[in-house]
Amino acid sequence: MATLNISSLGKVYPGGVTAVSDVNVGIDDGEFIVLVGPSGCGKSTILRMIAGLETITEGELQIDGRRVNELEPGDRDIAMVFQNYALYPHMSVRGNMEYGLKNEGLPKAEIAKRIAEASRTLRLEDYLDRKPRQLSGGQRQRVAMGRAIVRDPKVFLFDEPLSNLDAKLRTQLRAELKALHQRLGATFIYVTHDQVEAMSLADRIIIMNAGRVEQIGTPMDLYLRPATRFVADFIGSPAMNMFEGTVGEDRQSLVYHGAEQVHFAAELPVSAGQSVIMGVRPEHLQHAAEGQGQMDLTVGFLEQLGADTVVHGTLNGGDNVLSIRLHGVQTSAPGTRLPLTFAMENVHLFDAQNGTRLN
Amino acid sequence: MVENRPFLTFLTHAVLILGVVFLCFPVWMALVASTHGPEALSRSPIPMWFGGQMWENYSQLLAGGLPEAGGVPIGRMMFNSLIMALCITFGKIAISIISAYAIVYFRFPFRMGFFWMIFITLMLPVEVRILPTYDVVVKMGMLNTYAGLTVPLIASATATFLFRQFFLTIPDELVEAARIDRAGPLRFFWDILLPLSRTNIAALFIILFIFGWNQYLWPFLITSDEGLYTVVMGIQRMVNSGESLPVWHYIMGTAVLAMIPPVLVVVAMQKLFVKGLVESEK
Repeated sequence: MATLNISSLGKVYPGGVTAVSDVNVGIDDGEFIVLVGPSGCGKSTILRMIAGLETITEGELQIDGRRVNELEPGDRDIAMVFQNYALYPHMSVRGNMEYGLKNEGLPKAEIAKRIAEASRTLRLEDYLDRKPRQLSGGQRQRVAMGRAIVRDPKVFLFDEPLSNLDAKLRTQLRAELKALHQRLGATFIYVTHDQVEAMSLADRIIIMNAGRVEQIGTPMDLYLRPATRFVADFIGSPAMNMFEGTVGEDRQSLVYHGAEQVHFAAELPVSAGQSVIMGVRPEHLQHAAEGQGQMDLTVGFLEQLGADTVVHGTLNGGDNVLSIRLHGVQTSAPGTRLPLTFAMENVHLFDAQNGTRLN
Repeated sequence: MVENRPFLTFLTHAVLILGVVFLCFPVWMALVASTHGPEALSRSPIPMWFGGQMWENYSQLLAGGLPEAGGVPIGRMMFNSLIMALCITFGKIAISIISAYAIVYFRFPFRMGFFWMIFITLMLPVEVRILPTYDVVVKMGMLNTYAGLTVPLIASATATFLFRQFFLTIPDELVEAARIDRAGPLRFFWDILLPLSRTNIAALFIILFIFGWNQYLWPFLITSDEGLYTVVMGIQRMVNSGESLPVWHYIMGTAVLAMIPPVLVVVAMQKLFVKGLVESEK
């Protein structure tokens, strides 16, 4: 169990390409941290730097207060689970799990005990003598986790471990991972591009974009108060509705192409005439009575999901796309205008130029 | 497209059988000839069925020396051939797997330069560089030794290239997992890379064994001591035995004997060989 201290961490490749710059975060003992972001944002690079598979070119990494920048992966007391499992194909499940322990020089009895324990936890007892190719994807990933667990490391690293699995298995293994984290109480660092995975697993999320950290916070922080436009857009499904415009003279409206598009119930905390991006989540919009609407949705098409209905359309029939999530089964003909209201606390305002939060 | 018409089935089988007969006929002839006495093969028509001298011919070949082959028993020549083929095979595999490992997994200066140097030697077969090689062997005093027979043939660009290509297909994650599992370079090579290369090694073993076994020109140059003659050379010497008539029944018997070890190697390693050629699963 361990704390991690990452300060001004950066990675510059020999060609001068900066993959990651200036990452600062302290990770507590037993925390489940998820690194999330679109592909190429540098999240895997950070994980690989923590693992020691990539050299750290800037900044410092400490595990339990000890600088580990120069240590070999095997000496950092970490374990890693890879996306494509990376099991040794010629070794049995048992062989895969015990390989690291043998190299460490543990006594045989201890190895056997740890493998028995891990395989019970992961329900792999019946497969110990099989080869990886005789296992299904989910089982292979469990073996990979077993290989990590038996080493009893300070930090577990996961590099998109579920993305090669089908949707159902993914949900199942996600729950198992969460349970595993609770049982082991170890520090987990997990990389994914899937925001649902991030939201459901993390104690804290580090959201990355283009090699920089956009925001670090609990899932609810990110959902309720996204620090940047990027975070607002990335977290939540369907994605947050965003409209660009200028603040009206009365500071209670959003003007776009010379016409008032959205009316607010209270004054906005920005100056009149400022260019802003307004965001509001589909689930925070309600259907209003005629004449009470703060904006209008022109219905395009419906997604009936059973529990919810997602209505897609445009803002006031213009070119801004807008979607709302309504409870239960709803119907609405394409072309209908739906008046909508929203609460002031659900409004997110971002600077139109640099995307930072304004309210 | 598979069509099930009786005529086509008949035709395809007929073509196949014809091909088999065509390929096997010389082997059959050799087998038959090795069981006759010397006169039977000088008369027309030559026999198409086994004669009664099989036992005498083969025991003479294996145990007694033949004056036509320099008086060396075939057993001795077979042993020499075996030593040569095995040394070349193991030497080539060992050298090339190690050099491929270095080229793929280690970053050292002029890495690609070395790779291309090895690669370029592909373009120079033994025959092209035979004079300088001979000169080197003479100066090192390796004439008439097993070392002289095998060492110059051990360096192999083909096998290095093959192993390099195979190593490149091994996912990086496997190397990384091994690093996290505290496996150093030697352990990784021994515990992971070598077992994974098993089928490739088997395929190469067959190819190289046959290559080594069938060497003719090089042993011919490097040996003058009859105790070091290989079986392929032996056959050649018997055919060109000067004044006297070629002893066809012995020649054919030697040819049959010379065929046996390569066939055994192929049969024994066939399963792995095919796997090594077609396997894609990693």
